[in-house]
Amino acid sequence: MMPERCGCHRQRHMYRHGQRLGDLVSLLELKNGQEGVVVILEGDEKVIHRLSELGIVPNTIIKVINSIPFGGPVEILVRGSKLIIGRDIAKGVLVRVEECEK
Amino acid sequence: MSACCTPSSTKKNKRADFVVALAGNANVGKSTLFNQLTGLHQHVGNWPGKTVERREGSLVVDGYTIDVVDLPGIYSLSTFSIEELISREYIVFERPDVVINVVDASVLERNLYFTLQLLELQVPIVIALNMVDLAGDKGLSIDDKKLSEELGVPVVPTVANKGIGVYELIRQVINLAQRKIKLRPIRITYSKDVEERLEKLTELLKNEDVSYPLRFVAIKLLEGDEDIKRRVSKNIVEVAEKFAKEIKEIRDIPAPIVITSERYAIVSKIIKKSQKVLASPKISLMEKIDQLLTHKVLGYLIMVIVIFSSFYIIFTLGDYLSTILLETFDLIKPSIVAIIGEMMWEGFFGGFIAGVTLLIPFVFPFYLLLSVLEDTGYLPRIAFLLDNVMHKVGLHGKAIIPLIMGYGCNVPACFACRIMETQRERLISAFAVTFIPCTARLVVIYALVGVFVGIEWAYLLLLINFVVVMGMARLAFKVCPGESMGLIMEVPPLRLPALKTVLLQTWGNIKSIIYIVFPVYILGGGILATLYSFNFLQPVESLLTPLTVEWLGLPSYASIPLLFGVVRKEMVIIMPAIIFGTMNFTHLFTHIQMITLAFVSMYYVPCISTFMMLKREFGWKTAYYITISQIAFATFLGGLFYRALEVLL
Ligand SMILES: Nc1nc2c(ncn2[C@@H]2O[C@H](COP(=O)(O)OP(=O)(O)OP(=O)(O)O)[C@@H](O)[C@H]2O)c(=O)[nH]1
Ligand SMILES: [Mg+2]
Repeated sequence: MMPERCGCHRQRHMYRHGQRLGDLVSLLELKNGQEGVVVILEGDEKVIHRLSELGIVPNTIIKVINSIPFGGPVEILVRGSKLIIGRDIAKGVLVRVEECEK
Repeated sequence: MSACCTPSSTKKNKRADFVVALAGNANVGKSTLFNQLTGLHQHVGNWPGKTVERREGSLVVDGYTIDVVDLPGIYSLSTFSIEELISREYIVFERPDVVINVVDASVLERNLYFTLQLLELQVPIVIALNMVDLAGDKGLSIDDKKLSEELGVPVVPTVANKGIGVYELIRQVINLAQRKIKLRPIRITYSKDVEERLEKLTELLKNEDVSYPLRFVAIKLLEGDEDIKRRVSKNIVEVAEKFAKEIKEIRDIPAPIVITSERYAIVSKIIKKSQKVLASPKISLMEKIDQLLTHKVLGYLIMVIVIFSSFYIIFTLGDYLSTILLETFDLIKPSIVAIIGEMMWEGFFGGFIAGVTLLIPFVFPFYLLLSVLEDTGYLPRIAFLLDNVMHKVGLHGKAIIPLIMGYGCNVPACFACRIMETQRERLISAFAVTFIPCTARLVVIYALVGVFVGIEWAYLLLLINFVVVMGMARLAFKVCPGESMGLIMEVPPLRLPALKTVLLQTWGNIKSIIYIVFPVYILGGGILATLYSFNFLQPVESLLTPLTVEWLGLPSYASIPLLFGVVRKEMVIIMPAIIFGTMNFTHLFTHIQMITLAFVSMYYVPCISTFMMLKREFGWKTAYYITISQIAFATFLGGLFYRALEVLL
């Protein structure tokens, strides 16, 4: 699947070791129905490990299906299962956007 | 379940031919399978994290006696949570003859991730490919033969709640236990960067005394597993940490994530070969309903309606059933009194009848509704909606589940706080749970306030209670040190409740009341009636007068019921019913006294069973702290509340 760029989201430039990683956004910035490919997991070590064990590892496609405003969680679809993830944790899941809202 | 969570025995059944453990992800049907096999009533429902402790049962099949062990659901063999440690240690140290790895066919990928780790642990496994019906609904077709070939272990498709495939599964288990079939589990190979280091670590571990397979230990060391680190010598831990650092430098990703990614890559390959997507899933009706239930505006509206109507149903249905039962007892009373005499009737049966006519009518609808909510999968949706609210008090969405269970009985609810990830969150949520009015307290509110003052006052008390619970949790959050983790929870698909599961679940919840609680009424009522007739309780009453009469504005005879309420909260009204031989409390209390008494009984102390559960989960000290803070809170606020009522009414 070729990553498709579209200008419907805010983009952030990420650098690591001086190298540009591409335009990454956190899960929170995806709209409902939008998909992204995980690039980096940021946050508490244990939390990241837990996320990865639930299948959220680099190169995984994640689709945001629902979210609650005012600090509420997001609901995502990953590897065929639905997960709800608190906002503080979701903030650390950085993805490259795959496609626009259908 | 209510007053008596039976702790599972740790002994192995000596007569059993072999022992089988059920392991797998949360909410995949392990307990359903366990109940099918053993005929017991383990808690089942449609949300992850119900089983928090291992439970044993047995079955006889084809002449073999088999011990079956139900384990908590886990996503990994790391040791983040109590459940994971319980399951891992059970499998490693108790060495069951066979592990049945129950997997959810509709989310195979994540489930096989756990399977790979079981294989790394080198235990004999049979896979129960459960929920194949759900997989079919999702348009997935899984080739179980191919899957079995790929993994090198037997795979049996099952639908646990219908009993499909269960016999075949047990046949495979017996075959494996008797070594009639041989396993050829695949070797899980990581990338070169990882493998090289694993080999070196395994070599170093040769002289160590660990109960786990060496390769498993090596992997866990690279993953930074705290429990395993404690089991090996310090220099090896240092080497492992150095290796983990190297991997991180080479791959630019922390070593544990490198390992989990590679496991997932292996799983993906297996899935590609054994699973076909027949039809792209279309959006079903249930999914549309799900969208409504979790909608950012409508979702809350529906939730409020659901919660309010639940209480409405419990109160109205309870009232109706209670009246019917009372009338029935009045009808048969003369003929029984004729045989045993008035004295006996009042003394021994007074308590029993008050209990039957009050408790059951409310407990039954409550558990019926709870089971329905549980079986539909609505609870995780509530967790989703209330996550940010719970964050305000230092918890997260999941904590709402034990809180809701608390309205049934605080004992299993405190136990269910184990679904929270850290000790601190468990403590805060258990503390909050003890402030939730269980059915016993709902009965007190109903029988005192709902009947004589007005049902709107009962709702008001519940509303105030919600504020109190949140406030107390917030307080605990401020004083209690430790770490918190955010919400990470799997959401099972929404579905219609199954009548059979709901009824079985309800029965499982109320049967202990019938077996254990009613005898207590009969005994307690008899003792109390005797004590009272000899005036033994007078000194106690006068001793507590400053508190009950002066501060709380209650009549002095309210102290005895409150003392008995420590055993079970509904005693607060059952005792006066016995002593004064009437359930018409208007002669005993004024309206203000009724409301105050109900308010105080909601908070004043955890009942004995709750206290014991708190002690078991958090130790004596914490249990005492919680008890003392409740007594202090209830007396202090009770007095203020009474004075406010005096002014208002
Ligand atoms: N459709 C379908 N539902 C099932 C099947 N097996 C179990 N269930 C349902 O799945 C839900 C979860 O089952 P449990 O037995 O409680 O799952 P568990 O693995 O013990 O869950 P935890 O104790 O929370 O880890 C229940 O509502 C069951 O009725 C199945 O084969 N098909
Ligand atoms: Mg279970």
